[in-house]
Amino acid sequence: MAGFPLKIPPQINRLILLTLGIVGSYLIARYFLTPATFGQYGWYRGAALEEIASRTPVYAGKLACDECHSEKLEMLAKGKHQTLSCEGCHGVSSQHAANPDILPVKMAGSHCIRCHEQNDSRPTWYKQIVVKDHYAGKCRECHMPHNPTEVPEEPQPADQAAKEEKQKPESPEKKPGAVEKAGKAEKAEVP
Amino acid sequence: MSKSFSRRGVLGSLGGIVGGLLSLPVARHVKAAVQRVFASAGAPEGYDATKHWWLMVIDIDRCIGCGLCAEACKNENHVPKVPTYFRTWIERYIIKKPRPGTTETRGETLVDSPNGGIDGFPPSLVPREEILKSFFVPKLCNLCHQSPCTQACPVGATFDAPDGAVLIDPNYCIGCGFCIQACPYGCRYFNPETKTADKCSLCYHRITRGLKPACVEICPTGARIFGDLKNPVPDDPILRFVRDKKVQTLKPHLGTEPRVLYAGMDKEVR
Repeated sequence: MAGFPLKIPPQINRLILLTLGIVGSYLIARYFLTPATFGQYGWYRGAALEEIASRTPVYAGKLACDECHSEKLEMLAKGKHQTLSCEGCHGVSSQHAANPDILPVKMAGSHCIRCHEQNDSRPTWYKQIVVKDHYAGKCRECHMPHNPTEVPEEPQPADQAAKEEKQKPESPEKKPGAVEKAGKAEKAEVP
Repeated sequence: MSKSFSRRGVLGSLGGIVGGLLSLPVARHVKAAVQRVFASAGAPEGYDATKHWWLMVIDIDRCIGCGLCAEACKNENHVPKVPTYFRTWIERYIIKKPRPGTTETRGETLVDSPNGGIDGFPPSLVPREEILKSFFVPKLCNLCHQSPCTQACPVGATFDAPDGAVLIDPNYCIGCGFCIQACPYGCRYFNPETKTADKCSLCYHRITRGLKPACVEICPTGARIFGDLKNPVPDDPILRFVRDKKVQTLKPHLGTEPRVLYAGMDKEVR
């Protein structure tokens, strides 16, 4: 039977129909189910960019702080702590920025040590202290957190002032300059 | 082979053609309805990914290893607060002095990162006399231009966005973990809460709103510098920094072309 047109055997016909059916249903499913933005920028869903961007930020950022506390930021900009972010010390503050009644977290004095405790791996230009050799009292007795080379003039809160009176006669007085000396002395040995 | 045009046959095929043409707009409506079910909304308005080109530079000389960046990253991005899950972390490198009696110029390199540096770094076990030098290196997604993770993803869930961020589509990720193994910098982890791969998104929800990424915002010494190469601000800090300092990338031999640049890096840093 080698005539023209070729007589296609029925089992092959069924196979062709089956293949067409599978491919056709795949194409139809793909048409309906492929997201509209797939391929907008590349082989991925373009809308994913917006979805990832739609999350709410947790940290408010220094600009948000500047809206109300510009005087603190001006003070900060004058001193050695000018590169610090507000939320580095005061904690996550987007809720406070949205509603000033919600106060940011108060930081303990030990927070200063997080950055300023002597560590052999810290760069030599960075001011470091060995806390046990430096001073036994509170950091804020000698350093204003917003401008650390200045000695605070304003009276301390009542509970802190009471503690200071107990500590002051015992511990030796140190001037702000001591921080630099201590930092340099400690780091001089390690290149 | 003879053909006969019967009335029934012609009307039938005409009806088929008309019906097919009519079904196209119907199909479009059905498609739109299906798409609406999958889509979700709530993105910041007015951000065009094709008009930005984000870049990050890390100044190793300025890193003090305080761990604020790694902590802020976990707060900002709701990363599980246990070790092994990090979008950014700090490594401490200790390079020992050469062993006596050898001709080497630098000794053994030790690297550690206890809890990613969030709790600070305890004094090193290496005695100070044996240390040649020591420093901190903050690590994060290197934002590769030729990213191995994107190439490994079998479902198109991770991609190189037009603005330079390498992102993961959480709806598409099947959690197979290929990308986690593919990343030569170890920047990806499997998020046990979402059951998807996760990584630094360059704080995409912040940068699209004009904020800095959380780690850059929080860094107390300015060791992380972030900028937009397509929209430089006057006296742009990132352009100035790249001009003044010698920058390089991590593992340049892999050809991944990272967009996170490091300044002041020693050859031991990997």
